[in-house]
Amino acid sequence: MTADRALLQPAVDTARAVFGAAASSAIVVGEDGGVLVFAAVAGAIAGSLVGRHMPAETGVAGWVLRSGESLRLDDLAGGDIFGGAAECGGYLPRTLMAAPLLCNDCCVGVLEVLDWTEGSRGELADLGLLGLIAEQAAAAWTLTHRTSVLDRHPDPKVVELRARIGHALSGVSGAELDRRIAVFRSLADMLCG
Amino acid sequence: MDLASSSSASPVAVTAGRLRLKPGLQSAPRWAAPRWPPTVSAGSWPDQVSADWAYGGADGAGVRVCVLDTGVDGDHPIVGGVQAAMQVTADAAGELRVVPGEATDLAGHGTACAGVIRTVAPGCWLASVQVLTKGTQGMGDVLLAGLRWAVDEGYDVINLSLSTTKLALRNELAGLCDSAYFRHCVVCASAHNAPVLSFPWRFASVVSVASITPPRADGAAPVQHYYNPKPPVEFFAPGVGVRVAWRNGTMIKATGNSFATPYIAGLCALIMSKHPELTPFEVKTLLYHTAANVKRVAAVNGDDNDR
Repeated sequence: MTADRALLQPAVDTARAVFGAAASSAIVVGEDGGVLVFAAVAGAIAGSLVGRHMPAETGVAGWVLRSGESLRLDDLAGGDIFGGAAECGGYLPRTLMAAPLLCNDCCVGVLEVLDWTEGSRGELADLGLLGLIAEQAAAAWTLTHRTSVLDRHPDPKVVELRARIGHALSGVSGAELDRRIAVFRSLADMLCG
Repeated sequence: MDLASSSSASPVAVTAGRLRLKPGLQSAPRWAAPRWPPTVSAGSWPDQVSADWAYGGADGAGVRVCVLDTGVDGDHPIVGGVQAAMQVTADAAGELRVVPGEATDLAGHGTACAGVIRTVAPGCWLASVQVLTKGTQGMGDVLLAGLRWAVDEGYDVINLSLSTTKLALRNELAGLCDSAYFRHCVVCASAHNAPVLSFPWRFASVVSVASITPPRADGAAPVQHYYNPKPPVEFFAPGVGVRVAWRNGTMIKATGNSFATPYIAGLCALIMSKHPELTPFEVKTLLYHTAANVKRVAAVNGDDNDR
């Protein structure tokens, strides 16, 4: 299981269970920003969808991704009227609800539920609840990806700082090494609170 | 306080609510007060403003409305055609340009918004700017390009059923919305459905809109709007379970602030159709006065039959 799937599968499973939905999916932006990728799916569309790509502007997911606004659609009558059959893996839902995965100040993906049966909270309350699940998933995604992004694209200043610290600690051992590490920790505490 | 004797560089003094020039100044710059009292375009407002006075009998004729969205299906019977269809595209150098396009919709969302506006204000001049682009172009830059174009083109009403969370775009977006405001263009913007910091709906220069839950027993959405005394959301409008136009000539039931915003945009078109001289401030004031939850003195006294 990929890291993204491991992170987002609980959110997808939770959304499907809470709404009694036929299916649920978490779709995230691909590396180059031009595609959407199924990161986790559950229910009727599970199959082999995970990892499948589609253009970033596809269907409701594409709009929610760009606009950052959640929405709920009813009475779709099972037709591909939003040009997004691909986002449902060929499954044609009667109802669809989508919320953005907001990471800091950008939208990194979309959480969707299809054909729910538990809708007694009211339309706006349902949207709000899905938004909360999406918020939780986005928070986890953010924490993980902040680390991995920094590893892939480290800030030059961080690289230089790491090198200097490494240089300062090289060739020393014992009590002197402990003393220098303690100095760096104090410095980090002072700078980062 | 009399500012005329202060060391302020301002040529305008305010005394007890009246505006006058500093002693010795022969004229004021245009932005100050070229004549006094300034001519108030809506000086003929009645003592009791009613919905009938505000927009009764109007159909939006003469008002140019622009929808920035996924595009609009001009063939949809509810939309009844669009007078202009534009799209934001990147040229070979990556520069964003607004160029003529087809009246088509990539997702259905823009058609829904256009349909609501057309239903409320059937006579308005309707334009679509497609800001959902293919490829890796971010929404923020595309939104800025589309909004800048619409403001420069002098549209009367702009519908933005979208928002961006990118802080880096905040200042430029705010500047554009201010420009629109000073050019007599009303920008109607959807509030975010979640409690996150996003724009432009949080700007005071726009009319911010959110959805209301139908209070009627039959569950039908009320066809009226409400004022919110606790901004930044200023108005609530039908946006819960509303039937909207969608792609391929279909109708669906939809929920979201996206669908409440064009209702208010349509109302603005009606108001500006009947009172073309009004400023965005005055249009927003009329929205307030005609809101279903704003009671006027006559109504409170039980003798008001004209909302």
